[in-house]
This record gives sequence, structure tokens and C-alpha cells, in this order.
Amino acid sequence: MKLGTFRFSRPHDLVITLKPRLSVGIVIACRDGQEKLNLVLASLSMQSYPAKLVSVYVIDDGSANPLVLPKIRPKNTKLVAYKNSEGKWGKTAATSDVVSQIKTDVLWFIDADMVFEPDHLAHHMKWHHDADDYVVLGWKRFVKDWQYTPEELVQRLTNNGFNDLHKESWGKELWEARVSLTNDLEKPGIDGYRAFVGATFSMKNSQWKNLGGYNRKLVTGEDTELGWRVFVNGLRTVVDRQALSWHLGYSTVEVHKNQIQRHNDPTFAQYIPQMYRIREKSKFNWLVPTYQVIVDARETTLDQILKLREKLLATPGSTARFTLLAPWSLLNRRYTPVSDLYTDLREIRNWLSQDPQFVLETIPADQLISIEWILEEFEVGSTPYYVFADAQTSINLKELTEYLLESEQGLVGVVDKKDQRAMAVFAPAIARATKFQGPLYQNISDLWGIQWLNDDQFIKLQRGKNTLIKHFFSFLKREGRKINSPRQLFIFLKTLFTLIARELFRRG
Amino acid sequence: MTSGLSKTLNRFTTFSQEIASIETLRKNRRSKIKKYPTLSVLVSTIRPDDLTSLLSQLMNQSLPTFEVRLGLHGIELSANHKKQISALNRRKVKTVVQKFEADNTLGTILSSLASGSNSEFIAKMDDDDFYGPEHLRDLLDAAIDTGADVVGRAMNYIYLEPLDVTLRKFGRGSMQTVEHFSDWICGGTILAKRTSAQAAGWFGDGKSAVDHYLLSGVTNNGGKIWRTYGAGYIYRRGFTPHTYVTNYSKYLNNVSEKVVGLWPHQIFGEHR
Repeated sequence: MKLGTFRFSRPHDLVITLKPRLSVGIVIACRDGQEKLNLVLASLSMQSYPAKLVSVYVIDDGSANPLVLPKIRPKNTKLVAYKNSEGKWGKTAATSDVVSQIKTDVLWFIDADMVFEPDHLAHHMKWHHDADDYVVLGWKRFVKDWQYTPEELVQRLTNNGFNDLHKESWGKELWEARVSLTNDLEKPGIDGYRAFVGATFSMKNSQWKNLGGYNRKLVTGEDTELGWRVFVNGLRTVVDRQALSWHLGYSTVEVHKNQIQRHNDPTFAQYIPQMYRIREKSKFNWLVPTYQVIVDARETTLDQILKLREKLLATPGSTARFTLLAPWSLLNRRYTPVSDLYTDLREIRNWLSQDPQFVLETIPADQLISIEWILEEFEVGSTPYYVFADAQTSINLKELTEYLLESEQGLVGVVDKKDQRAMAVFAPAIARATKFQGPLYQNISDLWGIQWLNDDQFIKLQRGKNTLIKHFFSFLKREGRKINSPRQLFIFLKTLFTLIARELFRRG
Repeated sequence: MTSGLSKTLNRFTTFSQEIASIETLRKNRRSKIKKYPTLSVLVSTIRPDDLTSLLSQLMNQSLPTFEVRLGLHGIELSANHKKQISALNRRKVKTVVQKFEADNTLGTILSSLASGSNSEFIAKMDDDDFYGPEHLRDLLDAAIDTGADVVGRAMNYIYLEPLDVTLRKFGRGSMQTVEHFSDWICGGTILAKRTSAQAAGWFGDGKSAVDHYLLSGVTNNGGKIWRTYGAGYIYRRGFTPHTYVTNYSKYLNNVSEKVVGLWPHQIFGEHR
């Protein structure tokens, strides 16, 4: 398997493959909307990618009037009637079930209300011919109305008329801004995943299967959640600005924003730890923790562990799962409370062992904990940060993970004057590292970069950045760009006020 | 004297530039040497695993012949060690094994091993450090070329076992400059004229600071110490028992480069 070799970087000179060899399955899940579907299929019939490598799967997810295949369509088009029943309805379920049967090399998922430029698919496919870990997003503009028939559409596409189909169109400004700010997702930061939208995206079939496809628990917003997993898995999301399309009408999210948010927010919060704003609204526990933390709890106190946790979870809405390493089995030996060799260890166990945030793992009292051993202990999933600490570390683990993100390294660690180590690992780095042969540590170093500092160096970096003021100005700059209407201005002011209030409150 | 490297190498020198200058220097020094003087390598060991590793590094030395005087500090040789030793003997590395009770000090053991040798030079090697195949020969080259009483290496490569990284520190810091006279060299790389070391009282009889004992003794007697380049030797800071703090974090200051694991280059031998 050919994967990215340095962070999210990708070539900038790819051109459409002259002799393509990869087969592609185009997946369109529909419920009603025959008229738009006819246009989609008409534009697909004009794709320049070789027809013999293309199969189209139109999934009818319980349309009131069963869908039919129109006359103008790609040669190899199948209509799959998805028989609805409890738990078997909706785009997510229909797509997942049908796709599990598709064997093409690549899967291209599209909405049923799109018109594609003839080279659109070819642009997606050039990436898949280059490597196996791309997830490609096409470029789209929204249009309010359209007057053409499938026949007229074909006619106009034949005459290079794609760009002239619509005089008036809208982009999603937030989306386009996010894409531009992240260098077309080459530097996605931690929020770049939000640019992942489902209207036109493609990936290798094997990646879809590795990821487990859509999360069936999401009825809408399944693309955002998939985008998060694509990101934490270290796959490279590419936005191809040459893969053009028109989106016929506004998306449902735009039209019913509040209702959709009310519906999606709690589910997003379960699966996407980065959704702090939603998570901070409650003190509920969430399915996917923000941090997976392994602590060497030998030679420490309950107080130290609790302090470590308190500092790590200072951001409202963040959660963690802790694995505490110690020779717990020693506690089974006979003792009396007044002459207990393991007072601290026993206290830690007896206070924390029933809290679901904590897992106690037994290790020998004299085990030397190597970096490779730690990396193999992490259970890599949708959590973005993996942290290890010798319990007596003087380092604030939250600051360490913030520095990890800032540094763009795959792993950063700090060792202090008392030989106590603390390190943080970035999910995409460790996830991709597991897909290569050889030791994880070496792979992370090769694929993402590593950095070790001592406590003095780390403290200097923390002082130097003057976090709060710098963050405030970057917030103003970032959010200020989004103001394009009185409503956006209101949202901006509201967020600004909340942030200031929170800071004041926190500082007493 | 061949070397002028101290003037041309600095903290901006890259690893490949460093290796290139070393190769030139080595070639020049060796072109003038017809026959190597006799050498005894002194090793005191308390760790069977580390001894295995050191014996194989001794086996790979490019110096054609030398003697090893091995002091077992409260440990026994395993069957594997014995096999390694007979292999050494077969390749003209005569190995003499001496046993010492656990209550002997490091100084006593090294001094005793040294006084039993008849070679023109003695060299000390530490069982927990890493030595490349040219290590002993490079040190003899430098000793012959500079005429110094003692030759040893700068501390340019440090392996921190708890972090599993090798740091390269070059050209800055008092222990990192190379190819000049100095009063400090890495203790695991001491190579001394037998007569000068004997006059200094060998390694004394202390539990620690045995290297300092020899180096200051030589200096006090008016002898000179040459610090050659560090490449070919990796100083190791291993794991220590949980309650024993060594503050190895200080080595992370002024690091030029680092790699995961041991530095992968022929000059350090094959470790992967």
C-alpha cells in the first residue's frame, strides 16, 4: 500500500492519468427527486474517465414513486432498490449496505442533486492512481434554479459549456475560507476535518472498509463524522479545485440550520472530541475521550494524579481515559493499615478503581517503560491525543498537547530534572505509523517528526508565546473573516462576549 | 600533526560534513603508520547483557591485534560469553579474564587490570556504551599523530535510553569541540601511554570518578590530553532504578540533531 510519507503533504503537479487502470463505483443514494437524478446521470454519462472502468449504483432508499433509470445514463448503471425496514432506511444505512457489496478499486460518493464537469471524476482518479490514502473532495458551487433538460445538458457539456450553465452561483464561504486557510487541507490543523462534505468525495474501497464506512448511528452529518475519522486515521484529504460541479439548490443543512443542529449536536459530541463547544454545554460523559492517557503511577500519590488530571482537563468539554500503571497485584498481600508498604498505591486504587475514567493495569514493580512499549499500549481510535506521563512530571499535560499541535510534530515529549517524562502523540501520526512495517516510534519520527525538550526549554516556549493574548488576536482575525451579514456579526459578538465572560469567570 | 579540524569544524557542521572530514583525517593519519603499538583494553563489567554487547563490538574492531583484560565484577561468564571470548582469541585478540569480588571498587579493578598489562598503551572501554569498528584504531592513530599521553573522544553522540533517541551535539559546549588538547575527554574512551598512566597512579581505588583520577594525574605530571572527534562512540544514559535521579534532561540542551534509536551509520557499527 502506498501512503503519504510526510504529514499531510501531497504532490502539486498531478495531472489527469493518461492510461488509467483503476475501476470506480459511483454511489448515489436517493429518496425521490427523479428529475434531479436524471440530470446527475446525464452529466455522469459525459465523464471523460473511461466508461469501461465505471459502474454506477443508484440506490433507491424508499422513494414514494420508485425511481427509474432514465435513457441518458452511463453504460453500466444499476438501480438498487433498498428495501426499507426498521434500522434499514436512510442514506447512511442504504449506502453502507450497498457499498459493502461493491468491489471496484475506488468509491465515489455523490449527492443526487449535482451536475459534474466532464473531467470531474478524472480529477478524483488522478489522486487514487498516485497513492492509496487520499480522500478527494470535489469543488462545488450552489445554484438556485436550472432550466435545462438532460438532453440539453448533454448538448451543452459536449460543447464545453459547463461553466456557462449558470450565470449566478454561490459558494459556501465558510467552507471555502476553511479550505484556503488550511492550504487546501495540506495543513488541516485540528479543525480542518470540518471541510469534509459528502456531496462529492472519493476514496479507495480498501480505505472505506478500513474506516468502517459511515457510522450508522448518524442519520445526517454522517459526512462530518466520517471526515473526523479520515483525519485521525492519518489519511490525506485533498480538495481538488479542478473537479468542478454545480449543486442544484441549497443543501438541507443550510435551509433548516437550527433544527439540524439540534438533531446532530449531541451525536457529534459523542464521536468527535474536538466539538468542545457542544460538549461544554453539559457535564455528561462522552463516548470518545479527548485524551487517552497512560500514567506510570508507581512512586506517586493520589494528589499528584488528581492534579495531573485537573490540569489536563481545564478546557470545558474535554474528557480523558486514564490507564494507571502500577504493580497493583502487590496490594493483595497481607497488610495492616498502620504498617502498609503501599499506602499511596492502595489509596489511589481505592479511590479511583470504580470510576470509568480510570483503568488500572498491572505492571511489574521494576519494569522499564520504553517509548515503543508505551506507543504499543495506546488503543488508537477516534481520540485525537495520546498522552503518557511519569506521574511525578512537572509538565502541564494540556499545555503539552497544545504544543504538540502547534509544533506540527507527530510526537513531542518533555523530560524534567527529576527524570520524569511526559509525551503527547498526535492521532494521525500514530494511526499512519501502524500501517507501516517496523517500530511505531521510528515510523512516527519518519512520517511526522518527533521532538524532545527538557523542562527549562518547554517552560521558555510557554512563556514566550504569551498564550492568551496571542490566542485572542488569532481568534479575532479568524472569526472576523467570517462576518458577511448582520447575523454573522451577531454570532461573532455573542461568541466574543461568551469567551471574555468565561475568562473573567475563570480568573475569579 | 595532521589535524587542523578544530579550526574548520563548528556548530554549523552537518553530520555528513563531519564524516567527510573524519575520513580525510583518518586517511592522512594512517598513511604515516607502518605498525601499530601494542594495546591492552581494560573492561570492568557488572552486567552480563552489556558484556555480550561489548564483546561483539570488540570482535568487530578493525585494529588487527590487541589484548583484552576483562574484570568480572561479581558476575560469572555465561556459555555465550565463553564462546565470544574464544572467537576473540581466534582473531588475535588475546583475552585475559580476572574475577573480582563484589566489594571491590571500580578504581581497584581497573588499576589492577592495568598493572597486569605489558602493552605500550592501555584503553578503557565501558560495557554500557557503544563503539564503532574503528574506535580503537582511531584512538591509536590520534595518539601516534599528536604524541599526547592520553587520547579520548569528545561527547558528540549521546543515547538516552528512556527516550530511545541519539542526540548529536557538535561544535558547541565544552565537551563537544574536537581535535585539540584538553583536560577532559569521555571516560569510556580513554587511551593512554602505559608509562604515563602508571605514573598517574592508574585509576586510583575509588568507587567513582576513576576517569578524573587518571586524567588529572596525567595533567599534574605535565602530560597532555588530546580530544579527538566523538563519531564512532555513543555515550549511553540508560534507565536507572525508579528512585534514582540522574537528570539526563540536561543533555537536551544545544542539540544539533537527533534520531530515534542508535545513530544509524557505519561509523557506529551495525546496531539495527
